[in-house]
Amino acid sequence: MSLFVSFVFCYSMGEVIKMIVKLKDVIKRYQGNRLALDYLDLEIQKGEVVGLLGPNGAGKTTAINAIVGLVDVDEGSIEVFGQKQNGLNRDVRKRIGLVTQEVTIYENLSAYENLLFFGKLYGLRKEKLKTRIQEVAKLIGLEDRLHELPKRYSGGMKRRLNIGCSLLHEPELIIMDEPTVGIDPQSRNYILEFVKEIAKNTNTAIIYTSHYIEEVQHISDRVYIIDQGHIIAKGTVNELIEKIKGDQITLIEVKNPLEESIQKIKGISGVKEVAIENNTYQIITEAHVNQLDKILSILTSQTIVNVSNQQANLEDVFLMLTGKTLRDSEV
Amino acid sequence: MVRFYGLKVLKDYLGHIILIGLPVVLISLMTAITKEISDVEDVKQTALYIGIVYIIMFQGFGAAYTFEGIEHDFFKPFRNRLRATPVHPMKFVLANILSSIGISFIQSLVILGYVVLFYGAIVSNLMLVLLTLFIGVVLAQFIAAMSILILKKASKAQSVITVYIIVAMVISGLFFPLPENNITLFLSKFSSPLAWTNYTVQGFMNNSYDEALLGLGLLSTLVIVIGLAVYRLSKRVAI
Repeated sequence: MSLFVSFVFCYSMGEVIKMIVKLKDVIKRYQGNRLALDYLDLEIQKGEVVGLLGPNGAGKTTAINAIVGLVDVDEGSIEVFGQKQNGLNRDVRKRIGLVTQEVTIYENLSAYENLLFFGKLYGLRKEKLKTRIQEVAKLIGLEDRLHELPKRYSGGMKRRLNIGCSLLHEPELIIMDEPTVGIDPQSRNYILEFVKEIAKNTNTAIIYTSHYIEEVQHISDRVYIIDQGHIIAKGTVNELIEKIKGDQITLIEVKNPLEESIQKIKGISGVKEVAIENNTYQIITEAHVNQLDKILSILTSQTIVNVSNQQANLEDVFLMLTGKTLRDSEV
Repeated sequence: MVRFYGLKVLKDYLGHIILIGLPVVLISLMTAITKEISDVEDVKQTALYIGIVYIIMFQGFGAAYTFEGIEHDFFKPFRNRLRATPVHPMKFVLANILSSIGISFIQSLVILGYVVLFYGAIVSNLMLVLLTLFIGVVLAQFIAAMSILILKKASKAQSVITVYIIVAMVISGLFFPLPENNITLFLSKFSSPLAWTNYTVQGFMNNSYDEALLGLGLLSTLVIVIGLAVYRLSKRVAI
């Protein structure tokens, strides 16, 4: 009997240890009763890279701040490393590395001094700190320019240093809030590759928020799609795409897209969703329903440039679930 | 942490040019003008008096270190980054203030050193004068911290402090002599903390200990009162 109890206890403890973050029915209201998080549920396990995908203002940053304990929530529960997050537990913070959306480094101090400062804040000292600085500098590709001032860096290099400052203490949970905003594709790829490297070589859980679908698709084991403070879909990238697998996605590029055409196209039988992005109508229709002639007849006055079909991706899933594209939602 | 914040302030080279270079130039200029106008041969004590006035004035402007540091850490995106660390946020406020006090006091010493070495001025009761100047620096940085914690914007705090310094200097007769009567005499001694600092320093240098101790008492009391206010305000902002 006691053996059985021990087994159950060990098993459940194993579950607790494996679970890094657990949010249940979390509600957060800001001034004016505006709902930032609306019954948000989220779970992240050890060693997992979880993408949190949603437009600006969807609640990604609020969710992150709630996990770190920077904002109090109105209702629901948040557990981090099996402990209730109340914002006061500094031991929990020691195990988290937060990469903020904005570049938060001291521009008039060298990269080395920045890393030194943040390392010390997390309790690293002497040889251990120096070793970690060298390791992190190598990881973020700044080992040759460590003693330069960040104000001489490119935007991408600053972003890499920004990330590096959060990795020194080898956190068990890394939270990256849109870490690639406003940088060139080359730097973005560099960052994505080393995030993948961290995930592969350590057992760190990573929460990666972005409104760039291709990034989330590239690095995430699982994806949560958030809109208006609520998780509207979750699963692996393939599972999410499976949701619209039977559907057909048609792209029609025109010179002058018109908003009123959206409703007209939606009125055609078999059309599930329509949105405009970059002068292109994105149209999701049921499989085997060929209504292209009818759609084109609506768009004749708008000078059609190109018509093509595409493979379903997360953007289409988002469009299907919310009736809008991620870029539309930013406006 | 204080060392790191000190390093950050120390690397503000433009700040040093303004807060050391400018008063040195002004002291030299004003001493030369005074010598020309009053036909005084030995200007060392004149230079010392002018030097003390500018030290007090630029201690006030040195408050920029504190309000810019606190604004950077708590009223800009840096706030969340620091609050996400295991360090208690109040320590960042404290580190900002202590490092600014240290650097600003060193600047005061450099200016005083210039007057002593270049003009050969003699400072009576040097340690007590330095103590008073140190309390003046602490007060200036506390006022800066209080301003930024209330106004939440460095540019607004800068405006308020600049107006305060100029008005305080003028009404206490530190910029130019005021007509001599009981009111201006009172204003020159007690109209503002800047006047108190000058009154105390002059008291120690002239061996007028009663006056000096009164000024020191006023300064110390205000340091405690504003210090407590800063503590309460920073608890609200930082945590």
